[in-house]
Amino acid sequence: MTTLRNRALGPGIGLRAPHIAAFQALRPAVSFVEVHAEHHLGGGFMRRALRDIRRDYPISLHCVGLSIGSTEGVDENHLLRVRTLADEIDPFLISDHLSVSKLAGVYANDFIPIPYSRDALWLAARHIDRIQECLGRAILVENPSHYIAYAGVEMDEGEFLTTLAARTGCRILCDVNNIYVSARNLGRDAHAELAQFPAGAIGEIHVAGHATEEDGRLLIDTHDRPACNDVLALYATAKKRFVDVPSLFEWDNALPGLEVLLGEARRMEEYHEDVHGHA
Amino acid sequence: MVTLSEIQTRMRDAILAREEEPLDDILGPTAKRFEIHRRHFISSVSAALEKTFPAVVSLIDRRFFGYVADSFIRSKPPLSPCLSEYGAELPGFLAGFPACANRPYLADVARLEWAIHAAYHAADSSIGHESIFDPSVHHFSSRFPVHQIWNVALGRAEGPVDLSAGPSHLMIHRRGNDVSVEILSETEFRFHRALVECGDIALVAHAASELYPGFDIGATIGRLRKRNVLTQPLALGGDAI
Repeated sequence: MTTLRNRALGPGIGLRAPHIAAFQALRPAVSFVEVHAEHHLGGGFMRRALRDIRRDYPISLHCVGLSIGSTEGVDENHLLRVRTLADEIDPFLISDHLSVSKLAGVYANDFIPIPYSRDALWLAARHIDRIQECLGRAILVENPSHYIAYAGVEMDEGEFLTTLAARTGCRILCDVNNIYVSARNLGRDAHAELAQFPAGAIGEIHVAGHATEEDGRLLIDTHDRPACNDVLALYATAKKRFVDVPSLFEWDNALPGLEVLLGEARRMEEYHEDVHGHA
Repeated sequence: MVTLSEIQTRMRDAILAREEEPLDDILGPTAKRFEIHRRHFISSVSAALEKTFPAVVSLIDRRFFGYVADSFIRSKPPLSPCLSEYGAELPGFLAGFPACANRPYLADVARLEWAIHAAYHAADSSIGHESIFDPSVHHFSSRFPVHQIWNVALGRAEGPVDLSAGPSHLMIHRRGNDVSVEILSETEFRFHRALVECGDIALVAHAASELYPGFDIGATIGRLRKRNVLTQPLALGGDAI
C-alpha cells in the first residue's frame, strides 16, 4: 500500500473530470489527489488519466456509493468494482460517507444521514466490516452534513464515530465544512462538535464551501465556492488537534479554473499557518 | 417504533413523490428540511442526464427537458451508484412519452447519444467480453437521418434536416479520448451485426457473399482493422485478413 510521502506540499485537492486535462498538463505541486471512485470505474479517458496521474501523485479514492447505512446491505457488485480499481491504482486512502445513498433500492445521489442509534451503529459496523474485508484494508468514514435531525437518537455524532472506529478499526474522515453546516443547521456549536471527534482515529480532513439560505438559518453543503472564514477557523483547530493528518480542499459544482482550486488549497493552509504558525 | 428499514423505504417514497410526504414522526420539527434531499435528488440526477443527452436537450429546450427528466427519474430512478451508467432507458421512455409524440425522431437521437456516452465509458479490457468488436463498439440504426439531426442539434451542421432522408446506419466507437460516429451502408451494417451475433467470420462471410454479391468483404474487414475496433484478427479461409 502506498503512503503519503510529499506532505510538505500542503493539502491535496479533489480532482474532477473538467480539471483532469489541465492537471495532467500542469502537474501542480499538491501532496495528493482525491477522486470519486465511481467516476473512474469504467474505461477510456477517465481510467487512463487516473493511471497517468497515479504515476506522480498518491491517490485517495473517495467513494460516494457504498452506502454504509443502507438496510439492504452492501452492493457486492459495486464493492468488487471498487476493489478492482483499488488493486490497479493502489490508493493510500479509501473512504466513503457515514450515510445512506441507496434508499430501499433507489440510488438517491446524496449523503442522507442515518439516525445515531445502537441499531444503526450495528448496521454500519457490519457493512464497514464487509467493505474492509473485501478491500483488505481499513477505510475512512466521513461525517455527513445534516439538515434533518431524527427523533429518538441515542448518541451524538462524536460518540457514534468513536464507537464505530473502535469496533471496526475504520478511521474517520473529518469534514470540517460538514461539521460547521450541521452545527449551524441544528443549533449546535461547531467547535464543541469537533472536540467530540476521536483524535486518534482521524485519517483525513476535508474542507469545502457551502451556501447560505433562509437569511443564514439554513446552510447547504454545495461545494461550489471557497470556504468561509468560520470553516477555515474550524480547519485550523482540527489541523492543530489531528497532527500529521492529510487534508484536502473539495470543489464539485460550478467549478472554477484549476488555478482557483489550487489557490483555495493554498489559502486554507495559509490560514492554518497564520493561526498556529508553521509546522 | 419505526425501524431503520421503514425509515429508508419512506424516505425513498418521499424523494420519488411529486408532493411532499409527511416524515414528521421520523424527523420531528426538521421534517420540512428533508425537502433539501428531495430537491437535490431530482436536480443532480437531471443535471447528469443533461450532460449525457445534450442534443435531446437542444431539440426540446432545457426547460422542457427538465420536465421530461423529472418524469423519467420518478418513473425509472437510478439503481446504481454510478450516475454515468444511468440513462439507458431514457430513449425508450421518450418513445412512449405523450408530450414528445410530435418528435418521432427524438428517441433515436437519445439512442445515439446513449451509445456515444456508453462508448466513452466502456471498459478497456475485453476480458469476459466475447464479441469480435471492442467493448466500446455500438451499432445503431434508425429510420431517420439521426446522425444529421444530432449534428444540427449540436450546432455542428446547418438545418433544416429532411426527415425523409433516412434511414441511417451507424457504428459508434471510442477512438483515443474521443468517440467516433461513423455512417455505414446498410449492407455493411448488416455484416457488422451478423459478426456481433454469430461471431464466426467464415459463416458470416459465406452468407454475405451469397446474399450481397457485390459486397467487398475484404475491404470491409480492412476498414474495421484500420479503425482498431476488433478484439481478434479475423481469419477467412485460414488467413488473417
